[in-house]
Amino acid sequence: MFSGLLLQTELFDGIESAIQAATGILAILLLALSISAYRRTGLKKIIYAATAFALFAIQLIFESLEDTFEVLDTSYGSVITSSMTLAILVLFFLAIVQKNR
Amino acid sequence: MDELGNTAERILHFIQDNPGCHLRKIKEYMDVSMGTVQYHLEKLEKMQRVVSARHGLYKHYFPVGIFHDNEKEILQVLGQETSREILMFIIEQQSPTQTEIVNRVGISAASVSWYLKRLIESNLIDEIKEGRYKRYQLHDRKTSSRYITMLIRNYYPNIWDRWSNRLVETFLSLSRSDGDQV
Repeated sequence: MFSGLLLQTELFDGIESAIQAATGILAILLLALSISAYRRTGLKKIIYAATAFALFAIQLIFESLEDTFEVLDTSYGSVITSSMTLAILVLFFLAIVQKNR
Repeated sequence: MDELGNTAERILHFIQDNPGCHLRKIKEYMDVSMGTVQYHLEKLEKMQRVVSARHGLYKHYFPVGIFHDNEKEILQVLGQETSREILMFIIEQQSPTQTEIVNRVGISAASVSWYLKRLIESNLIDEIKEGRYKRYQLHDRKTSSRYITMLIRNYYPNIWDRWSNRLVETFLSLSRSDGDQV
């Protein structure tokens, strides 16, 4: 019974890692797309979106580092990740309200 | 034209008739080796008879002086799906209004307005005020329509360009531009 539980935990860990990796790849893809879009159009709002995607990728890396190294898993870490989430939303908001120039 | 050999002259004519064509297409038309085509293209570029622009995996060739000093900007504009669609619609309809363009392209008025502004800045189209409407037509209708149609046929956006263009449109459609009008 104990070994079954252990197997199940390993399976969920594996799924979680796969989802995290896919999310990271998508964030990097969106970051590259937005940089390419900015270079082509020069639209300021795309810079905000690109920064948001970059922050999202950094946040994912930080979270996976927190999982790997216990020393990083502190209340400071939680404050940093929460601030990043807020910054991402603020940047998307700015990308929407910024005039099309 | 005297200093050009027969092969180089044929390549030059092909590029003049097909602005924006890429190496493989020229090779297929000429039916000579890739090395020969490359050699003559290099010669034509050195003689400033043609210019090239790399776009994704392909290098595209253009005769010098089609669009004078804003060629690069025009190529950038033509690398966008929506700009191409708007330009083709303007060529077809001669002088459509912004509403007609919005209905045809199927994206927000804010996005269309932004694309039209860029096309005007590149000297590809002109805006003509007609009462409360604004109509759009090609800047130089006689020569541009043929070249633009050729360029659109030969110079097309790749999947990456299309995706990044859609990202731009998503953000453009979320907000109104300064110059939204019918």
